[in-house]
Amino acid sequence: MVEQSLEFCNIVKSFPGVKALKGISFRAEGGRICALMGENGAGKSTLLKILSGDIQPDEGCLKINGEEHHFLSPHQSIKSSVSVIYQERQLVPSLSVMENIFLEDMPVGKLGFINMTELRSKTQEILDTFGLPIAPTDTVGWLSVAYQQMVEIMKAYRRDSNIIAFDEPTAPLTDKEITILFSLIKKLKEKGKVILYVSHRMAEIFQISDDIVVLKDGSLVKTLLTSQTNEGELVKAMVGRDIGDTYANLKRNDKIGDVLLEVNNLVTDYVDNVSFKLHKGEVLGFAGLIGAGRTEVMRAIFGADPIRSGEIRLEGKPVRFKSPSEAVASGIALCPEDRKEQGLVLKRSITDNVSIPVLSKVKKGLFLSRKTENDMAMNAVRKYSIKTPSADKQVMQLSGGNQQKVILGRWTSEKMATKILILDEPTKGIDVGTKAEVYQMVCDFAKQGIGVIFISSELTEVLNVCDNIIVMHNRHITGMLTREEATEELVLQLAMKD
Amino acid sequence: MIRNFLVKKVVRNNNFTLVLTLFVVLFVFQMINKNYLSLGNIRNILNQAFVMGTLSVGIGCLLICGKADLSSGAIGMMGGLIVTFLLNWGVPWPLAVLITLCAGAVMGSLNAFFTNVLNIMPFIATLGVSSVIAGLGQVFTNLQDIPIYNKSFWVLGSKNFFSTLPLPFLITMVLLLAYGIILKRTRFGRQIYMTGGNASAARLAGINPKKISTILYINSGAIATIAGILTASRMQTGSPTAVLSYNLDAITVGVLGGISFTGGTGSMSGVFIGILLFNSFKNGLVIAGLDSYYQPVASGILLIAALILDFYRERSRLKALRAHEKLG
Repeated sequence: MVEQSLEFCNIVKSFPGVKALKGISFRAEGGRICALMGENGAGKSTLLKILSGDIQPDEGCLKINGEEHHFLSPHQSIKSSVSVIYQERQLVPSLSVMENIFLEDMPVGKLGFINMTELRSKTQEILDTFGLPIAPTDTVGWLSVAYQQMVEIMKAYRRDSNIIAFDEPTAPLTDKEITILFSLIKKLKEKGKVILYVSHRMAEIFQISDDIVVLKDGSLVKTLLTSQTNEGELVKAMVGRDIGDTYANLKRNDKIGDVLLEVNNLVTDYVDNVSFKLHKGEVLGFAGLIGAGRTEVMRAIFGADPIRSGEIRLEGKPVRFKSPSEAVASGIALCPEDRKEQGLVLKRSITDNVSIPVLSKVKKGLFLSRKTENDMAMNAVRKYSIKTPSADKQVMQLSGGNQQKVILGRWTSEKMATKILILDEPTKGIDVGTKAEVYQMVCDFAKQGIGVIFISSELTEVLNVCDNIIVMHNRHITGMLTREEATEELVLQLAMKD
Repeated sequence: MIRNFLVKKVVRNNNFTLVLTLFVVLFVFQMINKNYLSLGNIRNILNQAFVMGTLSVGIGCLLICGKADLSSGAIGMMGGLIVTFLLNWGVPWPLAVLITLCAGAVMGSLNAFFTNVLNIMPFIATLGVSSVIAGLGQVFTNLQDIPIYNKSFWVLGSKNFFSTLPLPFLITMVLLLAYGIILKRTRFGRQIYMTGGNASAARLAGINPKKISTILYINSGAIATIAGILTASRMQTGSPTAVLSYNLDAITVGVLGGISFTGGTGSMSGVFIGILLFNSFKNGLVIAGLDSYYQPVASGILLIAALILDFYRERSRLKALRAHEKLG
């Protein structure tokens, strides 16, 4: 077997106004898993896009097995046996597994028809190699997210790609699925492939990688051997400073007040028999695997999804919101998990996005008061140090962390007078530094007497930020723990309890 | 420094490009034919402009809200017929106009019902409504024009100010101004932009997107009948073929004027310049001696040009998005 290798040689790439990559050089060997790490905006995705031929570097080149390459299109990249597997899967959901795997290279018979028997047997062979419990004829759109990702990997394997790059592959997966994915990646590694692996999750990196390349602001900061480093050193390299123990420095609220929200036996199309209480000034965590029904509970309370039965009491009074606008009017705020699709109007300014729920309160007579609105937005910009030249900037031009702050600014303005703040995965896709800021903000909200519901799939975060933790599994609540009694093992047990 | 900044801001402004294009169009046709910018021809241009101009107010608001409307032309046509019937039955014209406006609102509410209650795609739903209403118009009239005998009603369409500004176009301008202010300065206007920009995010932020688009469909129906009433008054007849063809033109001037086809951006000032540009161009072709059969060709070309422009605007937006978002 020829020793495979991939080398980035002095890659430079600029976008209008930003230098995304400032001369990156490193080498990845076959049969090893090389992790790319860095905060948001460090340049990881740009690097992968250059590898896939999606964009072209201004300077520098790629060397595959020592041979120089300049990819002008994704097609050329694939031809040079490179596969990049993005978070957004590039599959045709209405077609079967085998058709997707052989999409651009179907076995064809003499008359030009597709040879279905051969297609099926070839696909089965590949599936068997990796021991996947799916059938070649299954429709891809009906598979779980995890298996769709597997199909994507099979596609790369079928092309006989020698270089396979993963862009945050575990983000949509449950722990069980991650285990399957990892065993797959390890098999690819054994076959001598060059594997690049981008992820934000620290634990994963240590579990799977052999080498770690740390990027920061478009430059390569450090190359580490996974076996010879630790989390502390890695975080330090990523943020360029020692953030110490993020959680130890949290200034927490210690005065928890009366019951604010009481949910009794809530049943919807997506959750069964959910009951819990939220107090003033409490940070109530919702832990569990993805798909456990946490988001769905909140959407029902918020009036976004219909409720079948059950009782909701807000400050003792029974309520049943028919639409989110009623919930908002009662002082309940929801920051959805998918910021861009559900949270923000990206085309509009920071001001527009901050004032949206309280427009009736920024009116002066018939018209909106621009001054009041602008003051509101500037308040949010200052309070949460949102990085922007002005409040008129379109939200799409902000980074993920700053976008999240805009939503928080929207729901915590004085005019909104939020009583209950529901945060669904508020730190998803946010860099380490901003995460720490968000944690402190959450505690500050609690200090103001707001009841905060904190949904997160990151265990350490739930364990350290929340006062009480509710664990959900398979549409219902499996347990409730206080911060003192909660441990990672205990939460995980509950999260997987049947 | 400051001057530089201002210049940049003005140049980047979409309306600036449009005004510049408008001047180029005016200049070129004036070179071709000396009568192009005569008072009489300007009056002609404005008289041709008011129908699509009026329709574009209602359609424009819907486009900003991210909704298509292909039925305004038909509703306008029906409005012209309704007002004609009412007048010929002896109803005094102010009352006839009022009733017609209400009828327009009712026809608009059909669109709202199909799109918001039955969740049919706006494009298809409004196309269906348009077809039904246009057909009914032909059934009611046997495809004959019906003369209007109420002379006091004729004034609406024939009065001119300063011998160049026809009353119908003045009404269009007033509508554009009023809706421009509603869009930019009121709570409802902001809700339209937010709904068009991202309906699901707007909903979770306490806006009721269905309510917004329902109001806008009803509104668009009523405004469409204004175009029909003014056309009937100007022609002194109710015609089952009037206004119909202006629906597409109204969409064209909207997109030309900077309303994104995907919703969430655009302004009435842009639409106004779009109307002037579109009609100056169309009229110029006639003045330059081209056969009037070329007019639909010109409309089509302008629509495609507007969409290409919209595509590039959207792409530069996406580029900005990518540059800032996907570095990590």
